[in-house]
Amino acid sequence: MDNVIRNLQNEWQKILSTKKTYVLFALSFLVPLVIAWGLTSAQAGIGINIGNAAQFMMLMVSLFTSVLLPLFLGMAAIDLFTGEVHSRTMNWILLRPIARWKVYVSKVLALAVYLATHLGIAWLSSVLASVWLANDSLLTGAVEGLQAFGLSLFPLFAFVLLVVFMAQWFKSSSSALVFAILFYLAAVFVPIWFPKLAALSPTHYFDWYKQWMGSAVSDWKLMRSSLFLASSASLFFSLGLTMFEKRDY
Amino acid sequence: MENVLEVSQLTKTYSNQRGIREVSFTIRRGEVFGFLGPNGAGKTTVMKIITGLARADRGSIKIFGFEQPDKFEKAMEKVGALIETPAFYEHLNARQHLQMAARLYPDLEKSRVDEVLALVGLESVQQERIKGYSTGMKQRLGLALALLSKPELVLLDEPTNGLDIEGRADFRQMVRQLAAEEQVTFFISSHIVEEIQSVCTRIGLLYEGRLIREGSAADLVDEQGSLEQFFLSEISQAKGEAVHG
Repeated sequence: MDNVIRNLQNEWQKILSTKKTYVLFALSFLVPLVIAWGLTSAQAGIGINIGNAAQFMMLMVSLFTSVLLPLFLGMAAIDLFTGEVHSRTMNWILLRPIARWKVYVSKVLALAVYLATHLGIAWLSSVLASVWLANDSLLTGAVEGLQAFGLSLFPLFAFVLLVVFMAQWFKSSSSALVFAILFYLAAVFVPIWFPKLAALSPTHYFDWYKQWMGSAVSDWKLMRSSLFLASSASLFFSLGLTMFEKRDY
Repeated sequence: MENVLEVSQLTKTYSNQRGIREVSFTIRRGEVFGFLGPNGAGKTTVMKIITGLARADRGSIKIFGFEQPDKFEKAMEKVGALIETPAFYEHLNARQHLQMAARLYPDLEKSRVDEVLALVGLESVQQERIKGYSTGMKQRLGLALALLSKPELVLLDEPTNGLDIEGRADFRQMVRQLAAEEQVTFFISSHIVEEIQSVCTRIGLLYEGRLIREGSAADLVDEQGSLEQFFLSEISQAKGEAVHG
């Protein structure tokens, strides 16, 4: 496992070396503040009730887990896999004495760290924005937000593994990104017409934190969704790894 | 002498039906083995399979006695390689590339990064981002990465691509010196006859995916008077055989 950790350092260094990473980290930080500013302006101007800090926090969790983070994670996953095949920088690491599965695992772990960093930034910024909103239940909002952002790590990581698997099909990162976006849109909109299909996509479980935090969800439903996410994650991890192992570079 | 690389019956066919067929050869410690062949003969394919970048349909590879790909990490521990024109992360500099690679060789001294930068003449530009590098500078960095781990076997695919006259002379000098003084084994592929003749002690001739001749450089040169004549004669003969079935 030593080589996995060493290459994880390499992958993280590569992620941190691009301007895009910092722009997206900045976006994760700014979005809650801008929305809070917009809401306070709306409240002052037309008297809209913006609710308390806990409600604002849940709004942010929902926005990040269903829109922003899937996009950011999709781009990062495609950069680390298809992007490196396309630019042939993948050869650089595959010529070192590190087994392919370790390269794959270290890249996936780097994406998990990237995801956790975004969630941390989004939570911190949402807490600051809540303070700015000057509403009540600040502490409750911060704690519930921490829980919700923390729990979102799991379904979003399953989504990362799905994108990593899809990234193995492509040689061009732009094709992979377009496909991933279309796939995501299909996963969001197809269930509107075919509701039964919704439960079959990991994207349907981005609000998994609600099941944990709400009291109305039965243990059976919670267990079923948790098992579905775990099995999806292991399935996509294994399929992606198999393709990564067999591919010619 | 110890066998450093043993390649047996290596076969791979791409979807366009090109590829390599039943390529077998052995390289012993301290040899500078040259792989000569026209463009598209399959030189890069053989090198990619040996280094694990591509998978063979059939055949076996042993590096320092370790089966590749089954014992990949052990097999590649003492191997340095430069395959095709090297590609780098444009936003990182040469030193960062070498430091990242050095992480995967835990026993390597920290001073080795400076040593290889000096060896390939990139000390003065080591902090510049790769996006400002010329093709020749990238090739030098590729050589630095191949030599970073003090490898005992070095595979170089068209290593002088993009190098200027001075760079080519430096390269030849470096290969001769490492082979003579440190018993480093080299496996160099090229389509440039002079390049192979100037440094290699043994030569394999690859044509349309087959290894059609193999022998000591001196013997092959003696056959036709020059390696170029030998190359042209063998290729012409192989073409004739292909036409007449």
